[in-house]
Amino acid sequence: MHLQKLPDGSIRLSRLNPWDVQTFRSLPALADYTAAPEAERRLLPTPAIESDLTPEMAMDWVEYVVPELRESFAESFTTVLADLETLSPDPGPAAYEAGDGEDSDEDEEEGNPGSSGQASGAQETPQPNASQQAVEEVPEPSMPHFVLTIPADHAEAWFRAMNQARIVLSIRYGIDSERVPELGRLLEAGQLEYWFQYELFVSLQGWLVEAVLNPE
Amino acid sequence: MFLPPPSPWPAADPLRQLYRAMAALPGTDIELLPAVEEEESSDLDQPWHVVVFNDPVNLMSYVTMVIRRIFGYSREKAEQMMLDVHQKGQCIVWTGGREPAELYVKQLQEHQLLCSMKKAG
Repeated sequence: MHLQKLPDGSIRLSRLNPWDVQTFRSLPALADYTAAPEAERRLLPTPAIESDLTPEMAMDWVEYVVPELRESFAESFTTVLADLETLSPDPGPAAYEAGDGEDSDEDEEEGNPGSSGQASGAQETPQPNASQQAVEEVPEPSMPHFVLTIPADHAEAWFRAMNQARIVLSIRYGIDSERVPELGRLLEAGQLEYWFQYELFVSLQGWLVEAVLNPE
Repeated sequence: MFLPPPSPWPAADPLRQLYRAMAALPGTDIELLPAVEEEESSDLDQPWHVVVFNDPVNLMSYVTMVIRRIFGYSREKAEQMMLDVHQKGQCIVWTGGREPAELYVKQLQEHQLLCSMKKAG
């Protein structure tokens, strides 16, 4: 997968393999907290610590705030799934070079040299930077690849959708980045794919924060 | 004539002192009602802390960004708060009235940070 921030602020995900696409399409299912009470409590906790929480506060929170939070969470997935509808076959890096020649100049001025025009070069010698990062190389030449362009104002929805998925995966399957995952346990339980998906989201989220959401 | 004091109207209110002086004048029929005692300050008046807790999922850069965005802090202040969250397990990111504290907690939860309110002091 290749990530590029385009001059207009939109984001291009290219060289997406079928597994990447399927992972993104399964985001709502991965992030579904309704079947995991602990995840639901993590995402929708009470507003105050137990000793300071009055019944009135708790009731008001559940009645007025929680529905808005649920709606906000759901909106992220609506945005992501709508963006995924625009997936198209990846024509390859040559097409981007031809179309984005001016883009790379602009990125160089911003201190992120060669984000678009040099994308194909990055595939041969990946040199991750703030605007472009090779997250995963898939050398299979016969594998179909896809490209997706995400509008700049959808970046946060993507971030939150992946964040919610990681929260739920972390709670349901004990996966997190601060400890070495018990791969054997995950493999035995048929849950190893969740770890790969979790790590994919970590990589993409890290790039989104650094290059798109908070690029200072 | 009755002069009902607005509520709450503490006994030391200057207007009440004026009425009291007027009532003392001969030939007036002003009667002062008992002063309303100041109500004990409610939860709404007490300061509350907004606390962000460490969690293994949220990226450090994201926590910094959210704190900056919601509270308008400088990058340095937000980064220090993020580091406190990460290293000490929690950090008080704001202190003030209950209603704004609730709003901040809602915004933080909307960004999926682990947070809560607690009474200050």
